[in-house]
Amino acid sequence: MPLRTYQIALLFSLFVAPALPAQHANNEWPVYTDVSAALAANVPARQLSLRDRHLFSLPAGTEKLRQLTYLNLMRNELEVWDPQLTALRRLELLNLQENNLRELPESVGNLCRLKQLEVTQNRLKTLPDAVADLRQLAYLQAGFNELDRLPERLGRCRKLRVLNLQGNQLSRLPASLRRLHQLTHLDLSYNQLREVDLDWSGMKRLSKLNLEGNNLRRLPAAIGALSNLHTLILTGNELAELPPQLTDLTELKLLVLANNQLTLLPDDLSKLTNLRTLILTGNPLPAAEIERVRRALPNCRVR
Amino acid sequence: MHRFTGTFTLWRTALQFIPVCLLGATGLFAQVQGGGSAVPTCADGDAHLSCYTSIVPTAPTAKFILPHESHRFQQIHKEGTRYTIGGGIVPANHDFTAYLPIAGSSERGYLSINHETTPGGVSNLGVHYDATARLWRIDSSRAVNFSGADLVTTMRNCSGGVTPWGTVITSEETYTSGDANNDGYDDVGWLVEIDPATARVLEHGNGKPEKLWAIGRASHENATILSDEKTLFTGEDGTSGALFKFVADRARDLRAGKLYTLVLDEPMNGFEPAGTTGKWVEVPNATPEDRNNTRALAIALGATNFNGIEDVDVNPLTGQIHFASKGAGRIYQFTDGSKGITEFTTFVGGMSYSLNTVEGTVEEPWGIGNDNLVFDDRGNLWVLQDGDNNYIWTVGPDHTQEVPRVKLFSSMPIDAEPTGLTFSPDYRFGFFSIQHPAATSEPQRDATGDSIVFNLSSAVIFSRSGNLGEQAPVIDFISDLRIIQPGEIVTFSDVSTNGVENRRWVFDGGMPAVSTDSVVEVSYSEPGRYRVQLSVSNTQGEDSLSRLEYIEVERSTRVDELAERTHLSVFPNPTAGQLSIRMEDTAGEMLTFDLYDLTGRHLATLDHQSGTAGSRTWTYDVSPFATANQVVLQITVGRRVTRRVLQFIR
Repeated sequence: MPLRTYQIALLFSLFVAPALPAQHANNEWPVYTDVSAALAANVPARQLSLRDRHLFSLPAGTEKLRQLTYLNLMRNELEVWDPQLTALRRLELLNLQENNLRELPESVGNLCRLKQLEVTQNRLKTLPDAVADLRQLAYLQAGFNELDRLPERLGRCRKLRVLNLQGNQLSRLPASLRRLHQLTHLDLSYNQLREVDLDWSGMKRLSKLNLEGNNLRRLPAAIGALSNLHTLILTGNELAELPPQLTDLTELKLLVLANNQLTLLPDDLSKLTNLRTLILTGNPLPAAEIERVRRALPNCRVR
Repeated sequence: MHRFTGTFTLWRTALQFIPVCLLGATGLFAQVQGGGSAVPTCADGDAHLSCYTSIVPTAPTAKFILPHESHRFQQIHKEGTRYTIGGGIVPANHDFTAYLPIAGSSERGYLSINHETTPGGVSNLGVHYDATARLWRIDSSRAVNFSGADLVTTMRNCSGGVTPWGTVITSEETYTSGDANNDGYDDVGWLVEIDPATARVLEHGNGKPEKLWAIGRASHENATILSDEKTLFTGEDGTSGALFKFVADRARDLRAGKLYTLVLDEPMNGFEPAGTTGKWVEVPNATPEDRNNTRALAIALGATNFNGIEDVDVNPLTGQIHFASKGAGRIYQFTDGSKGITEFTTFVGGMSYSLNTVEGTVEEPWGIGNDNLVFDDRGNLWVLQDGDNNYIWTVGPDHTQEVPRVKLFSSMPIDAEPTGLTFSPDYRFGFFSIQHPAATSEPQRDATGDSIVFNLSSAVIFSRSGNLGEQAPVIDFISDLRIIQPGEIVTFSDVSTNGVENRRWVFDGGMPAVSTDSVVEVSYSEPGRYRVQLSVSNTQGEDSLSRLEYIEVERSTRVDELAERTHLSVFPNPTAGQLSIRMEDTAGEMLTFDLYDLTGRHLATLDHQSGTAGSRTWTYDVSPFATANQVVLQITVGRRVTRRVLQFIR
């Protein structure tokens, strides 16, 4: 179908669509699905979903929806940031998943109430420094882009709880990440990391760290400072040895070391009393070493 | 299932240590040489849902297409309509569409419809089949509640499954991290079991609704539960591309059990299996940490990546498990037995098939995107496609790649994918949804006779044409008498079914000679044998009936002695329920009035009493017998008998 015809039809449908409030199962406020209905609402619209609309830009008038807190633009054709977005200062959740965005502008920092930014599956090569101005941001989902670097100041997002960067091209991490004291989930899987030499001691609340599918040859001793870590996934790296400080992760319950180059594990595993599942498959570990590990971890399933 | 985009980027799911399939490596549209054409497996006149002639292959059009010569559809529960309970508006992106019978009924049950949105949702409908109108009716509709601290939310409710014990499972096709309620479990990425009668998420022994943690967290596409009420299959349409099997410790209790992932003994060769055997490798699922990380554990344990698993289903005839790989454009099958996984092969896909259509034989590539699967009772596999032309296919029970048995059932409107097919228990009705069609779709008629349009997501019920909507009339007529005297009145009644809108009688030799009434009184003046003709029609069609020598007007003077002697009068006829019988000079005789149906079955004795002198009228309420169109009144006076056919006015 010619795009222009479609767009005309879409605009027409936006114009004639009834001003019906939509309700999702778990929202207190209606979720509008077209802009004209949202603009016509008696109570200013707070939520708008324009998912799956083949949009290359936002419909005219979107910027007037100043009370919007939720905007879902998932699976459209956005290649550039629509300037209208910058006007939506009250947004708390912005979903841009599965578009074709190549960059986010510095003006994203104006959306200072954002708690959740979802940009998974775009073509972003980096994130703007202004992301660091999103002081309320708790969830940043930026997996499956082309990110090869992160803003140095990213650690200023002090309220960040979940940082998902899987499936990018990252080869180094900004030192400021150590300031993410509230972070509980960090997913760096399927990047190009050769080392993760950070000061990990600041992430006191981190419970899950996924480093699967990188090129790590060693882990820093500092990783032992992650005192709340419950899950550590290291599948598919090039680890030939592990630092003894790994056993300082006394809260660890799941440790996945599959498909590395390990020939032995740290000598003293006695502190890993909470460990329940340990996956060692795909390592050149001698049978005697595996047996030693099993005996040292009687409450743990070792595979 | 999310929309299959042409840019399904394998690199995004590529795992450095798992072989990555390359598109084109095996000739996606390879043509089998001399593969033979698909032959119908249905005998002539077979009214099974799977009996149809393939539609002509087409790129998506502005309308929904199915074999209109044999099947009809009804659109229901459209996005944007109102829920009848609890307020709110039906959300978009209808996905798994499960019919859940009440007490095994194929005409009364629940529909559970997933909404693959963010946040997600599940619609719960009470529905029944109106056998008179031959249409389905929505009795109630509401949204399942996922809010609150226990469940937090649901997201991207994709396909799912119906359990043998009558609950429904919705699959959260997402892997978004976060534990907002700090219960130790990530909030989304789980299977969730719902009671369709209450529209509530089930509790699992902890006094609160919970998701099915033990089956693990992944981008779940579906759930298929075997009749043992313990074994569940689910696949990941996500990074691991893994197939999982969960075996519950106890029947009907999915909160605890062992979890496995499928590992083929030989890695896939492109999209084709290099061997036929494999094994189930146990995936730890004891702790919340295990369960939150099922995907990572499956990858670590060598799960075979099938490049986007969609639906899984079990063949009712063979017990073999079938599952769809969207990325590979293949449906694989295997035997799951005591020797592990054997007979692992490609069942269908990866080539073109010959279709016998109404316009002759046409080659059509299977294409990419095979998604939802469901077997019918005859072992036909129905395949809903999210990609290329968004078709619904059926694959016959005797299909092999060498001797294909593939038919093409349906084409979706532009931009739409078909989702979530299930059947009524008697396989008369299919229930699915049409997800995210373009706003530019054009109006078309469904079985209600109304003009509808697939410009938003909606659910669809389809069936053989005879089960949905107004039907062409089936003609028949009767008369109260066939052998008469000149001048005697015969009452003709049109007893055609399915609704008659236009009617024409022709009474050769009769008076009147033509009529359009449903009940006609006709007299004949000349002796002879006469033809009676009736033609009827409605919007669905027409029918005609011609009965030669149907009425015989006797030359003799045989008379109804009883009627003549008593001056019998039965009135009104037709009647709305009251019946009067008048006779004269019946003193000294016993009178009996009986009712029979047209097959001669005795219905009731209205009266049995002595006759009286002079004229007398007896009146009765015969409305309880008006369930039939006609009944026969038998009047006995002493040893003489006469009968009259009573017509009821509706």
